[in-house]
Amino acid sequence: MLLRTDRMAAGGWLERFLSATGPAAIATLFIASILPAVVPDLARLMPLITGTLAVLGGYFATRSVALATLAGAIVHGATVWMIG
Amino acid sequence: MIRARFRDGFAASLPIVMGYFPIAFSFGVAATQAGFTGTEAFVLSLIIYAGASQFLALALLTSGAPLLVSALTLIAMNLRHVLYGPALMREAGADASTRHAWAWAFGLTDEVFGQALGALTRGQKFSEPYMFGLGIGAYASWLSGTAVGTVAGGGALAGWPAISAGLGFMLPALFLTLLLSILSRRQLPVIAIAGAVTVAATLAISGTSGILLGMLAGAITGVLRR
Repeated sequence: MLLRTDRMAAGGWLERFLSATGPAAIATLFIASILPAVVPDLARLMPLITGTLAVLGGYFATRSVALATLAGAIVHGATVWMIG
Repeated sequence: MIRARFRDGFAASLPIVMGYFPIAFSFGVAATQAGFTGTEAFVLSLIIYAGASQFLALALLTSGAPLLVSALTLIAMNLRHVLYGPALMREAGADASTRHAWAWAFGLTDEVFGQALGALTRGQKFSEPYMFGLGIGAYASWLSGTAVGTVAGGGALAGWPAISAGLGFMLPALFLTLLLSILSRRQLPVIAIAGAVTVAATLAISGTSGILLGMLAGAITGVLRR
């Protein structure tokens, strides 16, 4: 109410800034979370690769955030188990 | 028209409950693995109660970002919530009661807001008991998911490294899935620039700088791109 959000111009610079903050933050968080695991060792990199592919496959197959996340976690863990 | 009751709101929260629990669970796991105690992780969920922002808070606090910078960053990320109350009440109508809004408004997450607004646009009459039912269901799911996640990530699975590794990957997996869900032609430059700057700044300066500069670069890209 105090901000008089009804006066915020549609498509104005403030609206564009705020609407971009969320996607920018999520992209940043994703990169920050996987960067430590990116190492020049295929055996250590493999769980990250398979987990990521499982997320991509799970999302495009189900369009479900929860299921795709779960698929990635399961495949990542299974890869770690198989590599030993 | 009969006003919707508390239990109607609670029933309407069930889809949100099922969606929140695994994400809150992954937050609990991530928080304990990042060094927070179970109680600290639970209190973060209790007070902040904002999905991606809680993960951002974890990343910033564990990387040593100043508290004020972290707070301002979280505020910027959640500023859209300021619009939810007015938008909901505009749809609710002039005679809608807001006597207890100071309490149920805390529960206006993206999903709760969307559910409530959808109900109003489908012709349901606004009621505060409904808002309480909707909000409490979602909130309880978030808190219980966090609690269970802290138990799983707090060492209970130390003897199962594969399961522990899988749980540790839930956070990156969640972020990637969220990215895919919001991916659009309009947001592609924002995401690409934010990602590139994060990599560069993290490698050149620090993890904290990478997160903050990446977010800022992405947001500025959104402003410049009409």
